[in-house]
Amino acid sequence: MRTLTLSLFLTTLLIGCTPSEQLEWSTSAVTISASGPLFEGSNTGTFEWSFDLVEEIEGLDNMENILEARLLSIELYPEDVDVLEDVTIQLAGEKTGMQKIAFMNSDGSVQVADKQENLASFFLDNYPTLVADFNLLDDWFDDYIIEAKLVFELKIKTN
Amino acid sequence: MRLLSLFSFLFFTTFAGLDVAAQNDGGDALIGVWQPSHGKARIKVDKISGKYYGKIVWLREPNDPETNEPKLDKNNPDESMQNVPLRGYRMLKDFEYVGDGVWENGTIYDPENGKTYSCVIKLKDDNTLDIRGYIGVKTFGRTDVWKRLEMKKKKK
Repeated sequence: MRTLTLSLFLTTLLIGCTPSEQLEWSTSAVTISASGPLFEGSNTGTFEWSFDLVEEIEGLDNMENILEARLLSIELYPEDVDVLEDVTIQLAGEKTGMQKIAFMNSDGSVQVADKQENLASFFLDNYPTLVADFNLLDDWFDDYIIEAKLVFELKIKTN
Repeated sequence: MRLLSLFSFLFFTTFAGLDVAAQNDGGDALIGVWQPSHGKARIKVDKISGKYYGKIVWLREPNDPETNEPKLDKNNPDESMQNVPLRGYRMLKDFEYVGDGVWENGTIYDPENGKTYSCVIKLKDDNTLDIRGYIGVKTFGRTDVWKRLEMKKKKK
């Protein structure tokens, strides 16, 4: 237990001492889709992400230099709001435990999760996936599409 | 030499393919709709990014008797997420198939108390699961038996 505490302390100290920069990264619109036909009640749509932030963020030489990540805000544009009861947005991946990051109520208001684990591993994952679990008020006989735009706060290591 | 390479390639792709298929087939036995022993909910398991996740798709009492509104995750330790409805809630997360009808490294969430436990799942037979939630070591935990929900066949 003492070793674990010491390791955690040293890791925190190491990250704390690493020269870093905090910035915001906004995604382009991503399309979360669920294959229809869909039935009233709980359904799931996914979007398998593929990004290279090294190309997008000036000063980021390597994806592994993303030290910390956190969702700041999200905009959701469901295909048809009349049939939609609610949407829960989660991040998942091969190496990343699924984490709930946002929820959209029936009135369209969106709440970002206050408690978020460090999402940095999501950006390093081989299969980063955005998962939308949504409840439908009625059957839907086609694919259902939700567009999303996300803004992350990233802490990156600088040289 | 070219023939040898071809045989090596065919041998590798055939058996490597079989191995992956066998693993997938075994792991995918978890996919389906399951009912815990209390019978108050049904959980649908699906596969995302190579891991297995289960969400609540049916509740015997979908509405909160106090509000007559859909039940919410009111015990979630994150207050900002207490308005999330229980219908559609991911209560099984991040399970990896390790072989022999066992899925590990996942968690189970108990909406009754808002706590998340480590969990191991064992397939007892095609339609029965042992779900063991525990804290720390597997010895200290509780096992529940879940049954696969089977579609009723139409009478001819």
